[in-house]
Amino acid sequence: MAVKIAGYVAGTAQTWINTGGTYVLTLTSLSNGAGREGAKASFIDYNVGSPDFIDFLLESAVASAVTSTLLEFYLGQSNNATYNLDNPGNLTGADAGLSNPDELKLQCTRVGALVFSNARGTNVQKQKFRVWFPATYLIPLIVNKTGQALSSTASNHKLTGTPYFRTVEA
Amino acid sequence: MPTPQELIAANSEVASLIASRDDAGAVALLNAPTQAATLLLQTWEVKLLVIEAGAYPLIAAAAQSHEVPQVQGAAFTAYSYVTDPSFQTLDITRESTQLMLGALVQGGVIEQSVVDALMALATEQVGLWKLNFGHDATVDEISKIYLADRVAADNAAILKERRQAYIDAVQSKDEVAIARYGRELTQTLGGAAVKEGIDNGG
Repeated sequence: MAVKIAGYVAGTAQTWINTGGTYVLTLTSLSNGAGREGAKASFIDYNVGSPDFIDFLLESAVASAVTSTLLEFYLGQSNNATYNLDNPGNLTGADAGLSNPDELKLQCTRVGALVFSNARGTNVQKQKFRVWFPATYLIPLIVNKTGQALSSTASNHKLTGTPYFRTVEA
Repeated sequence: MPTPQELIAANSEVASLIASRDDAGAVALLNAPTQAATLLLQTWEVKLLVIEAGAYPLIAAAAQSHEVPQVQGAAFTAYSYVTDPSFQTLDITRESTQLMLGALVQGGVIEQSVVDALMALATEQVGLWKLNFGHDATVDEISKIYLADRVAADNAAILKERRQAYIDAVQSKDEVAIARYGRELTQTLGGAAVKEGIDNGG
């Protein structure tokens, strides 16, 4: 018998940051052309299951102002809980740099890109993305295509994921 | 010719910008037109200049007849350069070209001012990168040269920092800090083995 979706309820948000977050991802001074992956994460709630979608908020800043250049955001999606197993793009599942991200990112799911505004200069800039029906385990991959290094202030960089779980009518 | 890394290392200002990962700043310096370079001239440019200087009929006439055979030969060569489509460029720095132009001047076929104008046409101010590698540098090209080294340096520095944070937490006996920094070390590339070593008294 079909059930009606009553709506969605937000679960616990998780963060990737260089320290003090749920997971680590260090984007400090990430050089132009480089990629960096964060630690492998899961948004499963053992009471309600997998989220239907996750809203991501990517926050970052560049060392020098740029116009409309991109900080690309990909997800390595895996069904294996072990951090370094069954990952696309040969991702390690740990906070690590990639020196050949342009090839490896193509095996990941492109979520979008934070498009930097020159008007906002070197301030922290933010962009939101929604990913539907994600895999159980996720590895964020950030590729710097801004033409500049990212800011050397560690706290300027943060990725937040908020899962949304389906609620149904009884 | 130096390698790109050697060229950058030899220029302290550029090297300093590279060290601070300001590749765009480094590219601006590398492309600044500070170096004199001699370009290959297109033969149509040469022909235009010679026509405008009024020397074209003189060269054509001397190619047909001149009292000094060497000058006639030089004039014939010069005439061929600007009329034969198989010659597309002229390298003004070649010794044979210099000899040809010298013979034309000495034989009274063209004025020295025409040679000077050709030299000026062939001389351009270019950036250090273009002088050595034939094209302007791009930010992505420079970034790519240092990418692997920078990634390795970042990985090593981050692992070292998290290792120290975990050691400090263990020494403080603060259970919350031990859990936090232990987790962060484990989530870092190579950190799981490092943590295991510390936990085993390493």
